[in-house]
Amino acid sequence: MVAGEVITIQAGSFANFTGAHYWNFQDELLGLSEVQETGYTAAQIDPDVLFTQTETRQGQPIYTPRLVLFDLSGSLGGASQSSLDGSGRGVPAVTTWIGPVAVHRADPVPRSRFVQQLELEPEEEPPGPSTSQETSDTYGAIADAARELDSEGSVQSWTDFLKVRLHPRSVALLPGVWQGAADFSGFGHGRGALGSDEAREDALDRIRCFAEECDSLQGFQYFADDLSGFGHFSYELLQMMQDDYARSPVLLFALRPSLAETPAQQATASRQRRLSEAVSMAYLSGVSSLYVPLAPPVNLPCIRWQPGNVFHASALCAMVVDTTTLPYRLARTPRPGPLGVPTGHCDLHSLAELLATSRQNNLTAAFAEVPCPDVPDAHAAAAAADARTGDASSSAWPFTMQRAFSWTPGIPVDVEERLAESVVLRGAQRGGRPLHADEAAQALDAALLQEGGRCVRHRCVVPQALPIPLPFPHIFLDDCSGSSHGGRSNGITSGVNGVRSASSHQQRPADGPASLPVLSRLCASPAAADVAKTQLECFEGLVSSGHGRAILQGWGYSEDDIAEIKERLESTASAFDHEGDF
Amino acid sequence: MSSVKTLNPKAEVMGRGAALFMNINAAKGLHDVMRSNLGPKGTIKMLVGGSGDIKLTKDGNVLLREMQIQNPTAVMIARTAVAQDDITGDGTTSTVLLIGELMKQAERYLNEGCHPRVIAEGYEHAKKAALEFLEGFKEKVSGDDREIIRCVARTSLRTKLYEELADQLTDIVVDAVLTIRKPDEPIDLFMVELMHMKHKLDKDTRLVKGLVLDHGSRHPDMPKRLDDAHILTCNISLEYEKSEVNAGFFYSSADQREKLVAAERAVVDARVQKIIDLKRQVCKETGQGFVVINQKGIDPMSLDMLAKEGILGLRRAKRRNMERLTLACGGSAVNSVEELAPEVLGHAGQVYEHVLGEEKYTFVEDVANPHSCTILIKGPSDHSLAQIKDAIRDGLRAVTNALLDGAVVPGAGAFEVAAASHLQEVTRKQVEGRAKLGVAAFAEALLGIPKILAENSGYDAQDTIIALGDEVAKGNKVGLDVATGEPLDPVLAGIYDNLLVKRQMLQSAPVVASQLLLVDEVIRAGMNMRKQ
Repeated sequence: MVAGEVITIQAGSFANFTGAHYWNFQDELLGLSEVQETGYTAAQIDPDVLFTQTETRQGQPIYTPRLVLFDLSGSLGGASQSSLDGSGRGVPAVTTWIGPVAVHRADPVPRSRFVQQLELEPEEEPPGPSTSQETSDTYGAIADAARELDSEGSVQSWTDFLKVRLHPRSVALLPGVWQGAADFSGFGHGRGALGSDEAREDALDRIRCFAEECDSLQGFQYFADDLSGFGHFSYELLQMMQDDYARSPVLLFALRPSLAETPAQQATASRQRRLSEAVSMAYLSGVSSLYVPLAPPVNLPCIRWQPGNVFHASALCAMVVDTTTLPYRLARTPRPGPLGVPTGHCDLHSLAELLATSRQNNLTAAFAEVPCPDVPDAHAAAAAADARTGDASSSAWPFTMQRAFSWTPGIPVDVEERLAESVVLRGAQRGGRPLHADEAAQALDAALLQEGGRCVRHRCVVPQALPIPLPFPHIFLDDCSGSSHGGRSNGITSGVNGVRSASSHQQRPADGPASLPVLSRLCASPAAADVAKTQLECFEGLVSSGHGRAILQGWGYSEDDIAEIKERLESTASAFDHEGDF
Repeated sequence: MSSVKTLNPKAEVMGRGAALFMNINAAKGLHDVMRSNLGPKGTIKMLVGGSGDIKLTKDGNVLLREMQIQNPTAVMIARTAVAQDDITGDGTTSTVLLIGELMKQAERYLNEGCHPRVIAEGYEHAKKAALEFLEGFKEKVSGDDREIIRCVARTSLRTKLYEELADQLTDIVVDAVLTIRKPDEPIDLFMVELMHMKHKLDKDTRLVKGLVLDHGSRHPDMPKRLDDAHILTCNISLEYEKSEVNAGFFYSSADQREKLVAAERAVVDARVQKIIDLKRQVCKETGQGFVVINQKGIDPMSLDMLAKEGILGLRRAKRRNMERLTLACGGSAVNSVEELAPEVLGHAGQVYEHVLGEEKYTFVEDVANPHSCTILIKGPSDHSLAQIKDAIRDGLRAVTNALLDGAVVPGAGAFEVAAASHLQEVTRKQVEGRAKLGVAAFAEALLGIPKILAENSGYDAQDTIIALGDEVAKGNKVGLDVATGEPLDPVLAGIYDNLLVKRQMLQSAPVVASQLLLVDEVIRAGMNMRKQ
């Protein structure tokens, strides 16, 4: 049976940073599924959902993401388009002109050492034991280069750490809008980026080409850097797509490098950010099936990251995105592995139907525990649940709440009322060992019961932990307090399956975990209306001020547009009102 | 000036002298970059990006886009030039050059103590006079004069591609526009599809009277070639989808679920069956084919049903192709199975698939009365494809403009030389006072364009201008022969430019130049919008 393909669209710099991490995870999974001891578990996640198989010019089959990404001109850093899709490079012959040729050369932009090392690695491992030394040398060099990425300023572009080869049709740069030269920092700056017929046709055509290949398209996952000009860009693009893909759901992640504006920001920048947030909510939630704003919280247990560092922030976002998107990426008929069979496969359409509880307001909150703490014994959990009914105060927090943080601004993790939820637990562990899927599922059920609060719930338990690729920031603390279980309770396994895209099975250097258990939940709650109310108030306040109005005018928004945004926000803010009558 | 400083101590203020200097320099800078581009002997530019990405271009518009201009004056000039391209499809380079020349000429007079206002006034007079002169200089064209339209296309193409290739593309471009032209309706150039194939030599580019789609069938048993084919253009979903209204399936047993799925499936099957019924109705004789081109998806089971009937089904066609298909083959696009009827079908003599490596193409050719067509561009590399595509696009615009204007202007610098002489001899005498200086500067600036043409072709600019001036004095319309450096008659040589392009250039360039000259002060206050 066919996989049910998903097309990924990424728009904007931060979305592409996150996307690059996301694809690195997928590449890691592909690598794991080729190795015998990890293969069964990894293959339970179906790569055909996200990847398409094509051939290189030499006729070798190759997996490339079914991906269309948009960014500004000049945002690829040192990578050329041809180096991303693996096509040949070299000075072209001028065949259409016989007059003189003038060459203008820009200063070369350096590429990260990691990408350079990766290119040195031979495509096919040469056979024979004699080369094992060589392989380990290359591997070591790549690992070293990957570690270097974490140092300040060494990642200039998402191409500096992406290790997946892209499809030649994937990379779309906005012509004439240059990174650094053009102001593209606010939602409305993207107005007009799809202004010409040619730009529109090019964008839609890229998506159409991937869609044409699909036998049973599930839908789209859309990563948007919505606070930049790509916000309005995405709005226009999604609006156009509704014509052709009316019934295909769009799961939209509005990705932001930080939860709220930093106090150090200038007043203008922070005003622009608040306006962008409000307009994003008004516009993007209307053109998507699920609208999930996502930003990494500053203080996470077991993780220390530098706020403001996009390499870090995007890595965090990608971990949550990868986990929440698992239900529709599972194989339909998974083969049992040593850790059992994943449960909770659910296609994108059903997931969207489950969580979009209101037509006017599809804001969905994302909560996550990265890494997820140890899963208690199912009996213990059941006992705790029982104890709760007797004496609530004495029982410990269920593991599902111990390190839970809300990644969606405006909705707290212990939100009062939940309408629907999709819970994903992957790579659950106890005492440092991976847990069988059935046991993990039981424990999860017990813990959810213990939490109290009932709602329509979809649960998905996947044995495969989140594999951490080499080019990943070193943000995990070795020692993690606050966990109730002894041993290696930080939930991080080191060096168990340190495999890098099938290159070799080397022991990973001890400076990072090889994989992580993650718990994520997407939650629809009436609190979404409160978020809309706050946005509306903020928007109205800014519109009535001269500064705010100046920004909107700078974006080219007319009075009618402003009225429309207000109307949309009002409608989202009142989405759950009628339900209060119950 | 100081008051701004009081309000905002960070503000930077530039006085009139410095502001003028900045503006003139920016205009000169752009002028210097673009000047070598102009004309059929100009240079092609190879731009090597920071990552080693290479772009080849001869088009001023592309060049401006790639330059990452940051200087505010240069941005203003570039925007004018880009607007020129949007409106007319050509003349970007000329506009930038004319603005640059106007600024340069103005600088000469300003250095002699002349007030910018005087120059601007003169430019205004000169602009009006030049536009009037242009109306007298143009030559009328009727829509059926194929030869002169060919000349326009050739003139445009030869500035972007080498001669042989340009000449070969000329007829393709002209035929394409004449194909889609309908009496009494504006020409919609989007009805010419540009499709490219990386294949063989650039000279294999050809015009397909019909359509080329960049996808093929997705079923191994579907026919690869059909003759005498009925074409159904539709926007009907032929794939199994979850029901739209209901929030999901509600079922209590596996059996029930199966039934629900089957019921959903039956809806899709019924749609496919309706199409098959139509096919049986129209294809009575053997040898007739039936093609379904769908904007929505077609899933494997539906493809299978179609394949069994010998129907070729294409899914996810480009939205614009729906319109093109009905214009090319006749019939009309349908949005639901209820509309299916023999009248909505189009017809094509041949439909066949062409496979090129990983890519599949479907040709819908040999149609009776096409109002849409495809230019199939072939070339050995991405760079050459892009070059040819840009050139063809400009060529199509040039032909359309000529038909729209109903007139053309003799090219090769003939208009500029004649207009300059007219300004000097006639207009300057009519204008009173110091505005004469502005008119003279404008005339000099116009001569800048033939001068650059001469320089780019390797001749002495002054000699050329004098030779051309002599001929104009005798009352001839002359331009520059880039091959010999001698004056030539552009009408005899068949070199024609668009009236619209010249008119637009004459309207916008002096306006921008005057605005830049009249800047009194440049204030940069508040935050610096450009990140350094």
